[in-house]
Amino acid sequence: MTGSVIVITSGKGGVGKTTTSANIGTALAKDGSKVVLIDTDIGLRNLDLLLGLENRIVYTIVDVVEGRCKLKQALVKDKKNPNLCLLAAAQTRDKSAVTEEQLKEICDTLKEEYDYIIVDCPAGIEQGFQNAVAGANEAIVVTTPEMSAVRDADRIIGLLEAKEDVKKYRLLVNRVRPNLIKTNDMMSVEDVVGILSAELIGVIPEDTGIITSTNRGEPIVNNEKSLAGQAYLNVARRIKGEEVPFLDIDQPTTFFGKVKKFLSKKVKVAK
Amino acid sequence: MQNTEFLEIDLTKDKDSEALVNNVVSMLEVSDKKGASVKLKLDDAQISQSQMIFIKSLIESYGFILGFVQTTNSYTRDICIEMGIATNVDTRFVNNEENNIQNEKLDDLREQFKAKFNEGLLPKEEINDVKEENIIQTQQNNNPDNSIEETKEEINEEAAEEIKTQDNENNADDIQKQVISVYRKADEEENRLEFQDEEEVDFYAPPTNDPVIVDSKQTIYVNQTLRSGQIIDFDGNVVIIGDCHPGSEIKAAGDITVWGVLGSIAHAGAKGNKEARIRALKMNAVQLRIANCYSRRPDSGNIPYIVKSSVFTPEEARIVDDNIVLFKMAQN
Repeated sequence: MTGSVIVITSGKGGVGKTTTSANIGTALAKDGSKVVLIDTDIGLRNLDLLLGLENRIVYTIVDVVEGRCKLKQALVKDKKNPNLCLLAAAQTRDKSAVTEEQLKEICDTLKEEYDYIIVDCPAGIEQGFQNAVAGANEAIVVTTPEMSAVRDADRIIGLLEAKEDVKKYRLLVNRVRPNLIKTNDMMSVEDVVGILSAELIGVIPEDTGIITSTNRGEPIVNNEKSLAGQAYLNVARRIKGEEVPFLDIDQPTTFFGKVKKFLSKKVKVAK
Repeated sequence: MQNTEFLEIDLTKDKDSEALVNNVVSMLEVSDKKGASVKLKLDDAQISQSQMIFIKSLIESYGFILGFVQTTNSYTRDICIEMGIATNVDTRFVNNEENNIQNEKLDDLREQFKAKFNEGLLPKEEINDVKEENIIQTQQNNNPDNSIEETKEEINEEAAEEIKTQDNENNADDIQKQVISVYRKADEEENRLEFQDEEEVDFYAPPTNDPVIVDSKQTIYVNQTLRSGQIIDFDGNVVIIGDCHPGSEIKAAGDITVWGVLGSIAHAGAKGNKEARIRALKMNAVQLRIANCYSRRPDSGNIPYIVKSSVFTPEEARIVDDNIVLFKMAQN
């Protein structure tokens, strides 16, 4: 069995790489796939917080690389889903503690036993990015509908195209706010896809629930009511190769809004 | 103990405890009279027992001895007497009619003190008016060329190198760039929290409780907040004066004591000492490890940030039947 190694990257910081990694990983594991999440943000690790596994980490990726433990010992099992494992980054070291070859070797070893290896990439295009991309054969480029994030994503896509191993890259537009797009204050998803001319894998709406879920250490896909959670579940299904229509993210949140939308639909039908 | 050299520190101008500590540290760093007795000039400042213990251990960590405290505050004087530190005897205090019992005690002390003084163990200026000379000496010592920061940096580098040589096996490269602030390692003998010269202590006023004898290993004092990513790895005891934020790590062959909130990973007895202990004013650790035992924070309390509050519940972790157990160190 050979699983696929998917790197989640963006170039710019703060667009939601780590959130995306945690949620896609959890969503894939929920479907029954065996998933490993690798945090390559050595020195600034966060993925363990989002999964609520901070207190269980004993060995990190640096310990594995330096031979202080076996790879299996360093994999932290998720609290709820036994299909999901985390290979945490060390907090007390920096990016140079791991080399590209070592990360590639880890990915290749894990590939034999797991279906999906999700690599959370650090921001930037330096050593950390090179490490994260080294073992990947697929990439998800996360961006937000802002010019700076799109510009950085463009640069990243350029770098990814130069990598022979990365066969495929797809775009995930995060933190979309439909009401701002309507008033022309924000770039639309179509604009972003047009500028970057890349295949789209998902559109995630802005959701305040992300903040709560981060603080609680529980990925938002576990919350079935959340729209962002639904969107992430759809992304996971698309990764598995299913054809899933894009979610209507322009969903009203208030009761009044719901009535208004319901009525406007009826009128359209009547016309 | 026949120290004729005295280092005088004038603390009368320091308003809060922080300035006081800074002053002491800067004076001790500048001085090269290692092993000398330190004379503190406090005047009317009121110092609590815990503060005095802290100052005493701070001075001892630099390889000095707290020999004498000059104060006019009766509360501070009582504390000093209780701790077995020599103090000056103020005539105003002796003549106070309200404290007859204390007066008798003090008379005894004064006689003892004079006897001691005659033996040449204490400086002559103490009983007489010391103010003028103190001022002159401190002015000389406060040389503007030796600013505190510079000396601190120098010491940091020295210290990092020292540690590096000691812990070559344990990722010495890590430690070099990381924290470790102002500290000095004391010689093994001087490093105990018990009193230096027992005879002298008995001579004044014996301590009420038996002194705590810490493992005879070396101890480092880390006088700063430990932030995420910083690591302290030491072959001895570690004392941290400050908080330990999540993401940092403390690894010690001996005990770990945190004078603040412990919110990180702490590994005491890292070389297999099961008697090692971890103490903190507030225990909020992600993981506690002692020797080869390991325990983690319950998931219900697994919050990703450090909880700071003014309410402290000092706790101590030690091994009981191969389990790490937390004990409350203070009642209520």
